[in-house]
Amino acid sequence: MPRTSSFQVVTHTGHFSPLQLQPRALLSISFNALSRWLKEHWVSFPRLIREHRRSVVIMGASLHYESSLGFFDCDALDVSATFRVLKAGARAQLDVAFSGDAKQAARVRIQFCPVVIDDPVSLAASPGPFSADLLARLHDDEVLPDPPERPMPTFREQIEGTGIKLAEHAHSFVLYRHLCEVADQWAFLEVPGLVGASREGLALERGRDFPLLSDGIGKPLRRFEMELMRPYFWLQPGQVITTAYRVGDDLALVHRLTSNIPGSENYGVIVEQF
Amino acid sequence: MKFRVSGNMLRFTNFQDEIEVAGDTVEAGMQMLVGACPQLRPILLDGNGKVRSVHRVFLNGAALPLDQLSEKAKAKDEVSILTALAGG
Repeated sequence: MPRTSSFQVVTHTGHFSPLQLQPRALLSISFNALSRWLKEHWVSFPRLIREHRRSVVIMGASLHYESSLGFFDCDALDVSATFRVLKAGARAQLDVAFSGDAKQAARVRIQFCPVVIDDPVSLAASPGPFSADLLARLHDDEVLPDPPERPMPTFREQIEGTGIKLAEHAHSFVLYRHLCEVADQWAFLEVPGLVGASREGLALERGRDFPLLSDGIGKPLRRFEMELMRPYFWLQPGQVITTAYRVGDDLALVHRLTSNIPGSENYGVIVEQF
Repeated sequence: MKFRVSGNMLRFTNFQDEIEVAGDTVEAGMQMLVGACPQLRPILLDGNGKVRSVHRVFLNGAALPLDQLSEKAKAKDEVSILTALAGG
């Protein structure tokens, strides 16, 4: 059996909206679950970078809300995380289960690309597999040959193909340092907040024209799928381009992350379902 | 020419995001840049004095391969140095 890290998070009001566990909280606790797993079962995150010149960047994440759980429903969340290396060391995956009030509240899966640290001061890096020495420290069932699954493109295609387009919105932002991690690169766990701001702006601006948009601020998020192509860096300007769809009776949104600095303008795609 | 660096390198340029330097090629400008910002030298250049492959260089918005830094540059040109990604 792949090894797990299990722990409790005593909850506070900042983990929740009036509707549910905040998606940022789920990603933040999941990233902490990664750190715990690395420390308990493999090599701690700081040592992975400092001694083995390896790290991970996030390529994608899936959040599924399984049942409604509010701040007053439990005193703590039970969190359980499993880490596996995929594609024989070229990818990695973390699965995290959140429970509270004796029921499963949410599942998170995060896909990583291992990187080789080129410069230990700035942490500039390039994609590269985990070393043979690191892989040898894992159990056999923690190193799989399979490539990672990619649910976002299929989900996006389904929504754009079968949904009725309602409205669009653009939300500009600057990546200030509170949205960054230790390398002055964006922190992936801030993406739900960035796209949430665009969704909320759209609901406030066009909710009278399309009442369904209000589901994006009045109903719980059910599913969140994200793929990231490249990172933003500190003080970089960016934009979320949001398109809202009616799919059956439900609201779904496709968000594109862009920037106007030289290079490609595609930074990520996120799909939300309410 | 004017150099701009991505945000992860600002702490090595004394937080200047635009640095004006002289030089008639991009390469010459880079040498002036790391001379003006010595902390940036080991971040930008490897032990052989070459730009690390983790960075991308753009001249007036167009990608410039790292083996073509002898490209001529004029006073009003803008060179952007962007790190592809970091392992943070």
